[in-house]
Amino acid sequence: MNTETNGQSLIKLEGVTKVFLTDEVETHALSGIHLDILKGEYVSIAGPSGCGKSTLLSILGLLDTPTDGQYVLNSRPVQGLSLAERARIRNREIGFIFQSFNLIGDLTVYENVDLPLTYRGMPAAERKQRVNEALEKVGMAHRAKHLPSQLSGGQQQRVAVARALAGYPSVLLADEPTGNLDSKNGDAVMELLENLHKTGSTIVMVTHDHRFARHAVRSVHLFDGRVVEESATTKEAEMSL
Amino acid sequence: MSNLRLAFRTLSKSPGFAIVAMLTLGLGIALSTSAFSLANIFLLRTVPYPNSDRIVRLFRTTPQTRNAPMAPANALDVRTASTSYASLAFFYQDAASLAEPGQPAQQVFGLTASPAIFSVLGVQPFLGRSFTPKEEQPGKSKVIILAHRTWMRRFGGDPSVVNQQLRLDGDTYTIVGVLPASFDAPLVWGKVEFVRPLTIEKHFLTLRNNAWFNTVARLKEGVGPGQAQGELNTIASRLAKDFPQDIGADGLRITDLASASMDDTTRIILWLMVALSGMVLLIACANLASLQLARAFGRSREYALRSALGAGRGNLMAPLLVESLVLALGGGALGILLAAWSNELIGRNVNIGSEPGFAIPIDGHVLVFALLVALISGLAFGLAPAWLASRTPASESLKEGSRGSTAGPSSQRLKAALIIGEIAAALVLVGVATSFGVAVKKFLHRDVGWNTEGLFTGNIALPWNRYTDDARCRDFHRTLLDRLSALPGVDHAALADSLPVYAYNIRRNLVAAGQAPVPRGQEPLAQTAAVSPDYFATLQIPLEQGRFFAASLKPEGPAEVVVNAALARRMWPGENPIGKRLRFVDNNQWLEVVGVVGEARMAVNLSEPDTHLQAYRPLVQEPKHYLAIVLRTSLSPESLAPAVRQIVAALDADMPVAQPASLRTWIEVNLANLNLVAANLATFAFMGLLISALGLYGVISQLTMQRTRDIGVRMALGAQYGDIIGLILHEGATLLAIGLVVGVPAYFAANFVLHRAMPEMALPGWWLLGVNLVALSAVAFTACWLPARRAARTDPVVALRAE
Repeated sequence: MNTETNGQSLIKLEGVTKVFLTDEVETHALSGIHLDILKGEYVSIAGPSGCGKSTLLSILGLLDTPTDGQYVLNSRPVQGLSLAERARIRNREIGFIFQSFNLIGDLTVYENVDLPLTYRGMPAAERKQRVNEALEKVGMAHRAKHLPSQLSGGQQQRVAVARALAGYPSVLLADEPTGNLDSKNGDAVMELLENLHKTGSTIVMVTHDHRFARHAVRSVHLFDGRVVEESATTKEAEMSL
Repeated sequence: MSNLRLAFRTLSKSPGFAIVAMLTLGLGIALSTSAFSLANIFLLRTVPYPNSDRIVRLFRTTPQTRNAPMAPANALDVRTASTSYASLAFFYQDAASLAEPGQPAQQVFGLTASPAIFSVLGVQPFLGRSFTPKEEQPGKSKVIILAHRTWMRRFGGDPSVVNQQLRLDGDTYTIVGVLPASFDAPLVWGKVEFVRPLTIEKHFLTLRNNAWFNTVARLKEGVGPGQAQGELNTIASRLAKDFPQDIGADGLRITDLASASMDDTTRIILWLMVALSGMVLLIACANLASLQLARAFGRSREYALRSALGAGRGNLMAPLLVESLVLALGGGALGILLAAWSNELIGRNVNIGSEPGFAIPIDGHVLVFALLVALISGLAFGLAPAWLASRTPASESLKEGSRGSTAGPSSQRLKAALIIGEIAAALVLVGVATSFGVAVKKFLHRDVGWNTEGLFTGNIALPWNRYTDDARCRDFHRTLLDRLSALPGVDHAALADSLPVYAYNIRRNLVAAGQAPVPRGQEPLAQTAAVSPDYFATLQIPLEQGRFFAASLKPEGPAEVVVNAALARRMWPGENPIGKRLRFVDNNQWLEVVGVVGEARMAVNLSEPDTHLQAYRPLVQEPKHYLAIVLRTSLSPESLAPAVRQIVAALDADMPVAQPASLRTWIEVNLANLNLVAANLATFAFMGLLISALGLYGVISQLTMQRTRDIGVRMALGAQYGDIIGLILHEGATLLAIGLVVGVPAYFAANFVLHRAMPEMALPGWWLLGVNLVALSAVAFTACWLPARRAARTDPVVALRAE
């Protein structure tokens, strides 16, 4: 089992805050977050509803920008980049897995997985090879021509994982990836993520389910926009014994 | 009733939608109603007389034309021999000089008609009496009946006008009656100011080769046009047998008065306008259908709930349908108001008989049309959304966060089909409007073979009672020309019995000396004009061979003719025409060709002429009573009018100069209706394009909104600004491309109809299609660009949260 990290920092947040202004009311979604995630790590972010988990994930995924603080991704400060540059980094460095799968209904399974690669301007032959490889990895190659509506929830989430994997991202960001799945499918997806971690992928997963948080190596607990606890998970602790 | 209440309540909650819907529909209905008003007055209700479907015109047909008048003797034979008509009358349009004491003479227009004209039309004078049959006899015809407008304008509506005297053409006429306003039918007769009796002179009884009698009749009860035509055929055969030299291949035909009063070009243009205005309305309906679909989508949960509570399909469809009908009726009411305003504007600018101003009323027929159009529109844009809404499965729509089935594939397909239809219709509208506009511009500035600029023109009529012989006419012509030529600023002066503005008035068959005989009636037909020597120099019609008429040509000198090149080629192909001889079949005199000139094309006639052959006779050898004065000047042509009036008045105090004007102005007045049609079509095109663009914008905006989450996902996956813009524009471009592919054949079909209607107008070719496609694409691109830009600025976090 390869659960080792190589000690290199992939994500580094220093004093990151996020303030939303609504009708002149300031809401501090994140307050002075310091977080270091190493390459190959599997980190879960947990906490109660409204604690800032999703905001943190949006900032990590460059979908949103911090109000203050510094975000270094792969040794590069990214908090002040232009929209276009952020989109480019999202495409190349980050793979998203959403709670509600977010597959595009008009596109086939194959086309959904292919989509981020087309934005990269990758040659068709290479794209094909990567898409097939990703679908094989999640066990969905036989459904390549199906539309998302023809798949079960668990299958859709596996396609979403394939889409996240196809671009060989530096990090996979998973936002409640089992939230819309029954326990059997949820377990299957968690097993898939675990296998990906074992093959060297860096994974950051938001979840409020302790059962699934246990699959991660490290768990970061948020409360009221602050990191209140960082710990090795039980499972990891068990393994290190 | 509860559905009606609900419709009002729902619409009052969305006043923006209700206003936009009624405005869009109101504009569409206004254009359709206004176009139908024109068709109603010009095509459907041309003839305002009782039982007008029984009033017919009788025409002589020849191999070249189907609408020729009859020679007096033949017309009289038809009247005697036919049994199909309750009454039958002859008439011709007439101009006379009206000289009232202390006032300059004025030219007035009227009808010279048989006494039976009033029984044919079913209209009797409301003051005084009608003509008696005796007044058809020579010497008994110095009586006149005034048109209502003349009575009002010149006599202030004085009821004691009957038996008063009126000085017309230097003679005294007794006013015996006044016609009611209902006699006025400008589309049939032009603007008539009086009616005089048509006298049957003794020599008319044998005159069979000189045709100017127009014939109108009322069919007897129980006699149909087919039966009357059969009888006419028998009479025509008998005449042809009895007078083969005069009748030849001529026939007779019957047609209803309304059809005879409108040329094919005008008819096609008017129906085309109705069709195109209908297209604007269809585009408006398609837009409203899209909007209603969106509203139905927004209310899918309400429909699902109603369905769950046991509502049937009818119950589900009714509220939306009633709402659509309420909007349609509101739009219809607005449309009628706008149409009334538009009709007034058009009526003020329509020219009938070269006079602006014509009432285009919103009558009962138009109101019924507008109401029907409104109801059909309401059904057209309300039915499909109501149907789709009624198909909402309760189980789907009641689920939390469900999108509802109205946003499903059927709804999307319908919206796509609607927008494709709108684009195709917009292409046709823009295509026809631009084709027509470009063609009118080209027509106005085309080379007519003579120079229409720098010419003064005015009309005079030498009264027959005072200019009784050719010598008097010639004297008048010569003196007048001498004086006109001496006017300062006049380079050339000429007289002609007609000008190449609408048509040379007289068409005559001709034969060439030494050529094989042609069956009677099948001889070549030529437009002819009698002209003074300087006519060609005045109009700048180029001389191609030979010479013009000499100023020294005598009446009794060698009989000469100048022909155009087309006639020379037709009669003597490959030969030198100078010195050749020809003869008109209605005259035995041989004429020598002394010159060949270019073709003088008609400046304002859109129809293909029945012949391009032209022959000119010297006025000195064919003196005329009705003449056009034409002067070439380096001054402003209008500035010559007072001097010309003075010269004519000095020669004959009772002779007015009618319509003195610059010839160019005269041409523009005649083409004003064409410009009006062009303006109307441009309005249709603009409205169609605007509404289509709004429709495309609406559909793309809606598609974009429905795909907010997808767009967020794509952005999360790394899509750049340009990728999202490209995605949305691609949607619009696909709809646009299909719409254009569907629209191009319709574009060509509409242009084909235009070309058929106006063969003299050169319609633009492929380049204009290219311009239209680019213009339409640019508008569509703009309509898609705005929602695309909005989509590309979507905040992915918000978009994903919208989930």
